[in-house]
Amino acid sequence: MLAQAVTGTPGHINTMAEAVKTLRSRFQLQDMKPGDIYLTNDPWIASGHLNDFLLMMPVFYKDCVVGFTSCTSHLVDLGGLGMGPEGTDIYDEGLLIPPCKLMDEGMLNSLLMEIIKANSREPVANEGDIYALIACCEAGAQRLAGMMDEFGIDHLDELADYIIDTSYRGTIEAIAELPNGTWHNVLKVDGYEQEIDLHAALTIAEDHVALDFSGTSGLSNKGINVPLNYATAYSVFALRCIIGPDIPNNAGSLAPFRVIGPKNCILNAQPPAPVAMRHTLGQMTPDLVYGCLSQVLPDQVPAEGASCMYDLPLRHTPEAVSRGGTQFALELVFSGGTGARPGLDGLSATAFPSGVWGSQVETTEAVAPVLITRRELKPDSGGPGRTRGGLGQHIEMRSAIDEDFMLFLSVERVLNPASGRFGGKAGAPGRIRIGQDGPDLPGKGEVRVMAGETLVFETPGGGGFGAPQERSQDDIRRDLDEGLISRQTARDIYGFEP
Amino acid sequence: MSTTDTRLQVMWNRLLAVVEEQGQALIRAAFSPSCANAAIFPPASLICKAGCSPRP
Repeated sequence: MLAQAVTGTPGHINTMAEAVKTLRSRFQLQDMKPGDIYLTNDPWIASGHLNDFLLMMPVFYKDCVVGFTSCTSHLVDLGGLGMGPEGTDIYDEGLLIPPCKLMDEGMLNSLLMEIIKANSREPVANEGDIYALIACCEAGAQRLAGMMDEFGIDHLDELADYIIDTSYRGTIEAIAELPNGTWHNVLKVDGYEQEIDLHAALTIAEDHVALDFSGTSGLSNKGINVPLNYATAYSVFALRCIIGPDIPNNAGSLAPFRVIGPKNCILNAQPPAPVAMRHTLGQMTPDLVYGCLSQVLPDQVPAEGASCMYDLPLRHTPEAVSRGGTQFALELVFSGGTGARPGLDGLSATAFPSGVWGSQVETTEAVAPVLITRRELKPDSGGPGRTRGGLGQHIEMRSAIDEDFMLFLSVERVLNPASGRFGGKAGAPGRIRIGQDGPDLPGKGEVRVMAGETLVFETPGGGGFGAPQERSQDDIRRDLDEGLISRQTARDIYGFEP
Repeated sequence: MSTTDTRLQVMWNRLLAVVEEQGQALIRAAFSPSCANAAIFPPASLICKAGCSPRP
């Protein structure tokens, strides 16, 4: 990979960089024609679950393939049990398309498109998104060829060597500044059937960084397993946020980071394990590796955060089809708080490490029969500390019509909230219930929200950094004024006397 | 830095602009709210060389 757009998540980008190499080895350069585009959604090649469609287009310049443009996007529904952790194997989870040609010299493989539409609850959205992915590849290929024209170059070799060598050298220099050694961490996470231990051993050597997941719990029977490509993508992203973060992401800056894990530990799931919700644990890996890195760089690594996206796949009830009710499939995403940084508070309602934007109320209500009646930051959810963890959110939602809807939960940090560092306190855990006074629901599973009922959903806060007593009086006063902490917390935890 | 390196650096920046435009094309054209509003899963895009391997 030479260059990436900033629009993508690490889970898409870093996996795609590997996937292009895989596709490249499956298809011969001499067989490629202008206008060809290849496609796959194989979780172990592309991006860890079936919803992510990866396209790759050879870029021709003066009759030669000079490079590839590639893109990945999350399609809303691929049939099967749909987004959710309930599948018992990959075959339950929907349609898998092995690497194949989507476009042949500019002509669409219409049978493939019909198959994709016939296997989806949202055929129109899928078709539209696939055309958008095609347009993306073509736009990049056109602009790349235009750029080569303008600069008068016939191939990318020299530019590629410059980009990769410069980035590799810069990254190695950043690694060389760190002490050498091996550091360990264990992160306990909620899991589905039982709690899970994620183990990491981080080795920093002179010219590379190695991460080993040995000791991590085995597979779950549910779709929260993570292919290694996805676990690697997030772990390496987290490391690169601290080690040489100003160096652009490409094959050179990624090369010094190596990740291994025993086969069929939950961070290296093998086919046919179910993996639909691989992001739930995959996005916890930054907290896992930061537990190691914090021992090396105590004043650079943030506290733990909410980390996993608070994903709400919603769907019509099974009987809605026969009754002529409203049919829909929608995925909402909300974020919790990030961990407090050594010198700054954590960010509230912000997705780290995924960087997703989060669903907007108006867009959601326009495309699905739901009504979001309340959405606000949850006071006191940020872990107290010298710097405070980011706040989670309080969200209330109900059916906008007289029909029930289904919710497929797969979230983390309900049982194991984000820990603080160096005396900082934990953030608030996530919490899901039906009605204000309803019992707490587990973080994973299928929930039926009846017409008229309110789903109450709280995302976790980030952990604090440093002892709360060391927080500045001005910061505590500002938090109080803005309603981010209660008077009781200010007095009892921060020792603040106004 | 030699002139060649300066030229290469300019081309590198341009390549990043190309891939960014590619990403925006996807967001503009997409149908589903998850991708069209970049609201949920912002689509990702990248450019690779035909060989695509690092040379440490």
